[in-house]
Amino acid sequence: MLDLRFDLQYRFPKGGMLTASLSILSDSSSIAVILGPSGSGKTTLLHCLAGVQKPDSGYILTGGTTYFDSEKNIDFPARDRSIGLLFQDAPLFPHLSVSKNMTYGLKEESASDLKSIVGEWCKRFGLSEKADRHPDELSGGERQRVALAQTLAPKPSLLLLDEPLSALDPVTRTDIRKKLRDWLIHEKRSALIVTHDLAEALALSDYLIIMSEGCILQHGDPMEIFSRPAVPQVAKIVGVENLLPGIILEVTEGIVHLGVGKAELAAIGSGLPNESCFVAIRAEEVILERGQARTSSARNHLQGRVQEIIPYGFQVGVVIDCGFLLTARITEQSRQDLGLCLGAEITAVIKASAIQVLTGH
Amino acid sequence: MSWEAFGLSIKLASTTSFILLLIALPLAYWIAYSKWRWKFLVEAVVALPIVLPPTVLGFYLLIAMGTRSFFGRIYQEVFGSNLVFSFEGLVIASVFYSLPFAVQPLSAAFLSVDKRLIQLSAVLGAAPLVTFIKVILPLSTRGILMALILSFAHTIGEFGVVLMVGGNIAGETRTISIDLYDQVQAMNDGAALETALFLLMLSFFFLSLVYFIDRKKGRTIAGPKI
Repeated sequence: MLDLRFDLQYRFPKGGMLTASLSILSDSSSIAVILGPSGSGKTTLLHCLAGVQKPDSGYILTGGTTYFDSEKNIDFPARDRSIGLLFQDAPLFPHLSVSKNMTYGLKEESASDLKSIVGEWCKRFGLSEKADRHPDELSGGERQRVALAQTLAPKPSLLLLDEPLSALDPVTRTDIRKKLRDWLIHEKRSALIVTHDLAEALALSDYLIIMSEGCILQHGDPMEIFSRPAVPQVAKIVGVENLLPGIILEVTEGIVHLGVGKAELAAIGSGLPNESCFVAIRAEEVILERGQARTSSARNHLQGRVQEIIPYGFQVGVVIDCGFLLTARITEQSRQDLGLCLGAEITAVIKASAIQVLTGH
Repeated sequence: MSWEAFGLSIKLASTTSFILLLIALPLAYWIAYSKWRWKFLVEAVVALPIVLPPTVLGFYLLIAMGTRSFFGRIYQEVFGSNLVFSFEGLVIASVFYSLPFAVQPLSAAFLSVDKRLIQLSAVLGAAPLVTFIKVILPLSTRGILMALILSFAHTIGEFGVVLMVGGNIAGETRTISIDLYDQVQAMNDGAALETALFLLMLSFFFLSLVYFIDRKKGRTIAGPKI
């Protein structure tokens, strides 16, 4: 379960403020992911929670213990907080072997216990035969796994992991991500994980926190945030490819009619006529059809010409000029079947429910 | 060249370096990590012997250790002997004289330890003293070696302070640089040349050692660069 409440103000020495407040008490989720562009204060937030940086004011409360409260003059030193922190870039003690690094945070275990703990972590993270090596003899990915084991081994009640999988190759990353999640659930530990990677955020999190420019913009159920970003910045961070300025023309029976560029769209939502808004459409929600529009349940049929085709591996992004620039994402096979090339005439079909209207900003 | 004087210099330099290390470790740690706003004043005091004429330092120490001073009287009552013009007095004077040569390489070494490793140690539950022993010291071995060599070499070469505090007593306070001065005074040019050359070679050796150690950076550089 996640039990974390904080309200922090931290002034960056080079200007700017971190003002983050959050209150999570959830039995159903234990892994929260913080997503946000670099420079949004994610690392500083973790450092404040762990006690290696001191907030200017505010409080931190987790598991029933107040670790920091500027008004009551409470400030637990980092060593007395039951919080583990994996630093970004995963520094290790360069003069200690892998096994000494892994067990640095363990104090009461006997030598034989320590040995079996090292063996267990080496096996879990694919580091067998590396236990006696020194950090400078390891690859970046191996070092990151050692650092992760070092952070997890003392089993603190809350784990703060700053880009824990960034140095791993894609295959290892998927494997370690699963093992990390299984371990956290099995040991009933909660974690706050910083990542840049959207797929990773979705794969790991029960709870999503979106940060930008020192503030928490939105937090809650990941799917909810991905499908219904509250503000345009969140849509941009969670990777909504189409984020367009628009204006509400009229609202009838739960359908909002929008003017976007030279086109009109119908979306489900609410708003006031003449109100300006942002329109968010995920590229995979856009269906492409060749030739004339047919009748279907979808409310939006937009005629346009292909302006750009962007390859993404097995998928392609197709940019269509249909009164505004709309990006669709289809498979390479579909592109061939449709015979899409630059300048081709195409109809983009979007269901009203796939269009998100963000107003009031 | 007087081997007795040379032996005394070695004895003085080793004792001084050892005592200095004990004093300089905590002092350098404090200088490296304290956030006290008046810290720069302490740093200036520690660095004084670098610019102060040795005779000035020697003069003050002479007064401070003399039987008319509080400290000097206490020493005489406890040990029954005079601190001035004794080997023990020389050691105390040398500790002051070589203090910056031990403190500065140490605090520079402590400061060059990756700050994240110190934080990492704390997050993993280590108290500051444990972090100092398990992380900072092992990663500062070059600095410790430098501090030892520099304070040793600097004490060997000391002249003004020894002359003021120790005088010139054979076997007790006549160090090798005092001996050289004596030889020149006695117009004993052959012995003087020999002693001077010996001291020159010795200093050159120590400084070469310092620069050699400084060049061999490697394993102690912390943290992966991903």
